[in-house]
Amino acid sequence: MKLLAIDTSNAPLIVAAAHDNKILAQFSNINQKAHSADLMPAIQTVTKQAGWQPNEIDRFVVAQGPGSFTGVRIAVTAAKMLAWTLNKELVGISSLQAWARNVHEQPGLVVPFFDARHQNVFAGVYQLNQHDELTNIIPDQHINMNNLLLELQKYNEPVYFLGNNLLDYRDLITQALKQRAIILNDQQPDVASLITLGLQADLVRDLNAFSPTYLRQTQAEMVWAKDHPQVSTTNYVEDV
Amino acid sequence: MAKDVLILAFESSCDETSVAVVKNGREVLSNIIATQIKSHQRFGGVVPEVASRHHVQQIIHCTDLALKQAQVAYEDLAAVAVTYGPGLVGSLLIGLMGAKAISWAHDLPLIGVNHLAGHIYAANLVTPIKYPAMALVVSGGHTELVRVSAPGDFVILGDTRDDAVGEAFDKVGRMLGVNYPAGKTIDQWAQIGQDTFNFPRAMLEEDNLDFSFSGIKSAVINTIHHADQIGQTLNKKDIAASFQADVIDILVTKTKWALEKYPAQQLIVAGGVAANSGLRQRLQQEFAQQLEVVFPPLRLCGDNAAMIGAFAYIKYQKHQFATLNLNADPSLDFDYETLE
Repeated sequence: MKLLAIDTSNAPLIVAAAHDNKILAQFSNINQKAHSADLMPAIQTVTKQAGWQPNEIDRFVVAQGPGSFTGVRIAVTAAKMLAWTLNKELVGISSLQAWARNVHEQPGLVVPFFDARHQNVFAGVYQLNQHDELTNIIPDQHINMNNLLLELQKYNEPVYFLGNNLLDYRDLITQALKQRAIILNDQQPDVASLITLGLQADLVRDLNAFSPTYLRQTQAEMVWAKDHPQVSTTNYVEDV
Repeated sequence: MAKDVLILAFESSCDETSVAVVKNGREVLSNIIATQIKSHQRFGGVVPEVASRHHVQQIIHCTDLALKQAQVAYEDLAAVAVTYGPGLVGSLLIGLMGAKAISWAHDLPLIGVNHLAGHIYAANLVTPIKYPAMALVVSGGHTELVRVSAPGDFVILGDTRDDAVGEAFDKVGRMLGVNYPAGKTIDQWAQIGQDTFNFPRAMLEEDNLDFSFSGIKSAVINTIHHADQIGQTLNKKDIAASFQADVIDILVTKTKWALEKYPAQQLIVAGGVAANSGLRQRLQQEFAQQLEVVFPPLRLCGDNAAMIGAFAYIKYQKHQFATLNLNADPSLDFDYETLE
């Protein structure tokens, strides 16, 4: 199967073409300035390097979030539109799980997180077993780092951390978990991780409804929902 | 005979997701518009992050319908066009990524369109634009007098120094208890009420073609506050009529000055506020004798992709294509008239 995987959930821009597990071409830049400008040219280049025409791609794999709202939307919009217009498969994978999949260590917990400011993070907790298999045990969520560390104190295993603002959290983490905390200097998801997860993920059935995993309501909607507890969600968008 | 040029156009600069198929820049084969007004009414105005989230879930639906209604396949298309500015960056990006995906997937040329050029070229979907034309662009985000001397040749003669005219309608509407967008209700009330307040006509003492609407907005707000303080109830219909009369006076006067200085064959009134019936009447009265006044139908006045396809045809003819690294430009504008 020919897969094209893309991830723009944070600063890195990643595009990879793979035939099953074999990576044929990739583009990866850790600090790309403008994902909206650079994503399509990167897709074009990688596809060309793989020797494919656009309509030969069987499956589009996209890191669906969490992450930067705008960043995730860029890849999600491109991926869903490509899958739809070429009539191909689409799968969405967790941006955090994709990063956690980089870790191939002794069994333990893997905690990838994206800084969401004010000591809040988007994070998930994944169990890594002796067969190098990864299972999600605490769902990806928007959480205060202190609360996350309290949860992690309940376990006795080593905890591997990957974060995009690790230095800001290093002291907090080591204070809470002492020697159990292993901070990995890993900057971005590996393309192989995106492909591995992309091969396993369930197909998206409703391409039109497919959206980023934001894990956080907008401020405006939170305030509104608080003031209107009795109003159930209705269809807010309509054709005119 | 030359082959028909069919363009698939995208527009998502604010709170409408729209996709259209336009033939030869003149004929609308489809023009699907999904509006988010109901959503943003919860907040009294457009919330950018909410708008972006809605767009993601409309883009395929709109594209699918646009192609189906027009009964065209990708091989029938000559190009893909998209609004790349001005507008809300997060919103613009959805149309942009969607258009670029289709452009690459089907090897179709990409055309980036200025949203304001689109508004003006909505006129071309009604009647051929005659050059030089004068355009009065009035919407929630813009108030500009633009000279169109030749196809795709725009120069701004006058611009608002503060609020856009549609923005002033919404703010005054809020003071009168009218939900966003307030233009339609104020227009209806203005037909019933009288201009009893005679608010100041801003910028008419200045010898230029610029606009200002924050003063009139403040005058209305102060009048309402003052009445509240002394326990007086004002007739909302009269306030609406007074406000609208003021705004129309300013727009009409500046347009008249612009046409005196830069004679034109056509006056094009574009943008959401071009739907205002009071404005339509006054502009007809003032100018219909001297030149052709073009008002696009209501559906083409608000944000829509057909107008983007209309202007994209001009760029197609000039071979002005974009590359796949086309980015959103939230503050995209035309050139300004240089002062001599």
